[in-house]
Amino acid sequence: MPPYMGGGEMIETVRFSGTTYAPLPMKFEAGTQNFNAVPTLVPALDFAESARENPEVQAEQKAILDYVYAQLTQDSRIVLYGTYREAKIPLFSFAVKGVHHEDLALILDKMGVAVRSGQMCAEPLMDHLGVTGLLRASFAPYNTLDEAKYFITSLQRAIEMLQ
Amino acid sequence: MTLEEKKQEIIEEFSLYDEWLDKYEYLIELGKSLEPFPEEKKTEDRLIKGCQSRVWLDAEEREGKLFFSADSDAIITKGIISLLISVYSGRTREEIAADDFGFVAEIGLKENLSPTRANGLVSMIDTIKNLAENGR
Repeated sequence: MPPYMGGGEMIETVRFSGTTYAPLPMKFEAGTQNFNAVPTLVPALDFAESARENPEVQAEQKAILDYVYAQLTQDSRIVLYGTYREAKIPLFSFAVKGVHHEDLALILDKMGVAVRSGQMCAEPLMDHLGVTGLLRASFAPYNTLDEAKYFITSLQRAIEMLQ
Repeated sequence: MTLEEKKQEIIEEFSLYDEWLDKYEYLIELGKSLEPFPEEKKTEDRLIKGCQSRVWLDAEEREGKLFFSADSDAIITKGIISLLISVYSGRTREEIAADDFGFVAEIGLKENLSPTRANGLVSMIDTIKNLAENGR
């Protein structure tokens, strides 16, 4: 079976007369392996678990969820997608009327706010919603309500710049 | 204004702003001030490939000089293409083909775009060069 990808450590010899590959499994493992994921997986899971069970983190997440939801839905320039339920996590997909999502993402980036922008790897869904792309703000357990407020202020400022 | 003078003017204008946010504001203004692009010209063959947002570029030759017009659905992209057009419109094919487009690096534009947008900028430059070298 020929390897689908070339890279470091998957080669044995390379000559103009022919190339031979390293023995299995290296032949199919081109480049640097994701070795840093091995020792960090367990601490990452520990962190996620402790964050989920930490009442302070939970309270902050709920505060962020309520605040950002209220802000995004009361602004008539913003269209929020998805449903709001008690179990929702603080993750918001939205569009701004008359403003391209890429422009907003770029300006927000310059303001220090990272958002996802584009088709979200879901082109058929974008077609269904009738949009060329969306923005998504995702809050992690380490984000604070102050940061959420900064996000909203920055978003409003960016919209004003672009409209 | 010669090509060199125009490039120098833009480099100077960009250096007036310390913050990149202000430079973007300038690009947004450039985008808003771009002359309207006729809807019927928004065709597949005028679309620049490799841009995340849609960008149309058209060139017309008059008296030995190329005149560009363009549009985009994203305003910053429109500002960027507007900037390029302001430099290269009204030049001869030879002038454009011989240019190294180095002023773009000098204003630091590429480094301040997202990687996909930076690729789009390269596509815009390639398309302008291509139109100058090979026609449509």
